[in-house]
Amino acid sequence: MFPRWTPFNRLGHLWQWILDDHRQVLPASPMGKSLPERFVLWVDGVGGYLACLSDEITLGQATPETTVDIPILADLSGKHATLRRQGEHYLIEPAGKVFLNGTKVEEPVLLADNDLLTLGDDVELRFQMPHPLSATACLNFTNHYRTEPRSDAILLISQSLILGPGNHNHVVCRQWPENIVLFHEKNRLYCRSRQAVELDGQPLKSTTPIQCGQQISLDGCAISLEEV
Amino acid sequence: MVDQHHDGPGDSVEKQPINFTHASGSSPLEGYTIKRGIGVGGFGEVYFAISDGGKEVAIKRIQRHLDIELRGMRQCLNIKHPNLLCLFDIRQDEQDTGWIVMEFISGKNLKELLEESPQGFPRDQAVAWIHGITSGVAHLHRHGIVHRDLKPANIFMDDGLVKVGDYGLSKFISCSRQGGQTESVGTFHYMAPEIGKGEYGKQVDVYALGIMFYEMLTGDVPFDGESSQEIIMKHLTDEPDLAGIDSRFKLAISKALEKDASKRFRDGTELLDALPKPDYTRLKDFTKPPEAPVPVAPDPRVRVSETTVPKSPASPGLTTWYDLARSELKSSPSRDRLTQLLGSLLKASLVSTILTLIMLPIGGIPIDGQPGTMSFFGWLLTSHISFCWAVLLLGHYWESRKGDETIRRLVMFGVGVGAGTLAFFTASFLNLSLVDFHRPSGSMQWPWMAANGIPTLGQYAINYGILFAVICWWKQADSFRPLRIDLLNAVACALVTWLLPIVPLPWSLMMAASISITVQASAPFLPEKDRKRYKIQIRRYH
Repeated sequence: MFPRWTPFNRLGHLWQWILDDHRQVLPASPMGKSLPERFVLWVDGVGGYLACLSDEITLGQATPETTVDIPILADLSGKHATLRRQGEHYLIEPAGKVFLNGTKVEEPVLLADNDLLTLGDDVELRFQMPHPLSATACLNFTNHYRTEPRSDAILLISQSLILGPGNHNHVVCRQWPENIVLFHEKNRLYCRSRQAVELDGQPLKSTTPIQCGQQISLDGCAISLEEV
Repeated sequence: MVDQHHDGPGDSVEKQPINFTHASGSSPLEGYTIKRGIGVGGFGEVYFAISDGGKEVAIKRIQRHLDIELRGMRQCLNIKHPNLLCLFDIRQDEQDTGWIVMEFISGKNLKELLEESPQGFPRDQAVAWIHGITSGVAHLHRHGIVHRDLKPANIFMDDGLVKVGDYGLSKFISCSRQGGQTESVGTFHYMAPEIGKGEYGKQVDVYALGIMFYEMLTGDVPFDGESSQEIIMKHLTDEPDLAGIDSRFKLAISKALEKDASKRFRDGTELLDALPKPDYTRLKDFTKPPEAPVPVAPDPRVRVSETTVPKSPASPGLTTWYDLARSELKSSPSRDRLTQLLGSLLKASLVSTILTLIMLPIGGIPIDGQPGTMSFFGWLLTSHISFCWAVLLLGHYWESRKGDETIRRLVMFGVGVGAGTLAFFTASFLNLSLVDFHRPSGSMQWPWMAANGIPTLGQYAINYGILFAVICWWKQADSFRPLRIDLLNAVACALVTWLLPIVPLPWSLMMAASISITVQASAPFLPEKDRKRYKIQIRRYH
């Protein structure tokens, strides 16, 4: 198991090796359509996740006209806060009433793993960066609030998203035999796993970008991407 | 970390990865688009889907179905209860496959929550869970439906409300069980012994509820084993080990887990009466369910004719509204009861002070601040307050119980002797000469009175004892008395006291009347709207 992450080991050489390995197989000029900035990741038997690729993500009230990335069914401002990713760090910029671990936030502050964000009166979101070697973060509602459309969690995908049985994965899929890693580069997602992965029933090459509407499957586990 | 959600009203969700028949984005059932698979139960896949109008639902695909079985489902379609998972519709697709459209619940089921708490839940939480589950099951039983497959994987929590799912599919379950298909070993943990004989009465559900309550309190099922045969054998022969169970729940669990179905609670309603009520103010994850048709003990006459189940002490035949209210009071949280008692004691002290100040001038003692007056006032006040407190304490203790009046009077006599002794010593402590005060009224001379008129300890003790025992004081401190303050009570008390040779006029009359008024003014009184609620409940069953 990896040690608890620190800024020094996050980009440790192991990860560097994975990234290098991954870069080698990527085509110089990516083919295929790029993904939208956000989409829903449906994982059979596990849950549905609102995935955001952008480095700047807005949160606000879910209304028919909303343009925010994370629309929440709650009494919030149209644009209530912005989450900004800078390298491996996340900042929260309040536009409405925002509390971080119970303290009111007036200007941009840095988020740490397991911080509790409160938007408005009582919309509580847990900010987590579970994987020591990935800057991808997850937001979970701790009370009854939800996004529109419904999601079990919000994934802020940096370079990689790891799904699998381990507890430190971004999406914990206990019954899976193997991890699936989704790599994000220039709004394209590529998929890798130690076992053979299929895309819509055909063997998937790690150089083929995944599109919305497609289904990735591996020995009984299935992931689908849907445009929001 | 995003934890895995085996959510939705699936039934026992299989723990292996599954290849779902229908992929995300497909619409096998017209009007609904499948988003993802939730799980596979004993008889069909469950999907999370969104209707064309945007409603989020769970849809269950029933692979093998007979019309007769779907009819069984239809019976449940319109049953509503806050603790039952809502069924929306039963549909058939173009291939004639049956689909059940139902409420979608995200979050973990009880099975997963129990796996996370190997030591069981905290007691308050376990009580709230079992109360919710039993309320839902009792509602099914009242509609003549037996769940038959109660197990933690079928229980969900939605926004603080416990939800029972997968009811009405019992016919399928029994078929597949007899065929020995698709049932995992885990299911046998909740199976009542008589199921082997093919008996599926309401007591089957009562048994499963007993097992679940046991599991939530201890973290383990009472009967476990390596194989299904071993578990079934234990259900048939082993006695559950109740050593670690709180004594408040022992009776209910042991009765629910009786081997002989006829010795168990007859149905969910009867079990519900024997269970403690959850204190929702102390449970932050639970919400108090809205007022549902409140289950009360059914008509005792029916019970006698139908079975020979001995009456549980927790569910006596309730015939009047105040019996019902008393039985509910017994299970109300002790902290609230204590607060109520302390409040009434405080009120009694205030009212006593005011009434004593009024009594002094009437009794011919001017309020002049003289030391003699002050100590007499002090003595009168302490006697008054101690009398009222004794009545309030006993009334509080007795109001939630049924008891024999003679015994209560004897207890009152004992308490009176104590109060009299206290009054005597207070008087001697304050150096009060109460010769004038205690001049025997009339010409009656009682053996325990001193001939010279100077009161003795024995006189005080016995006088007070009689005064306590002669009047049913506790009835004036009862929450369920007909009027909050009935002045006729005060008059009656004064009259009775007048006949007793205890203290001279006018003190005897004034003391008795003012104590009666103080007790009535400070004892808790059940408001009219709650009385009405109990009366309606009782009427429903008679």
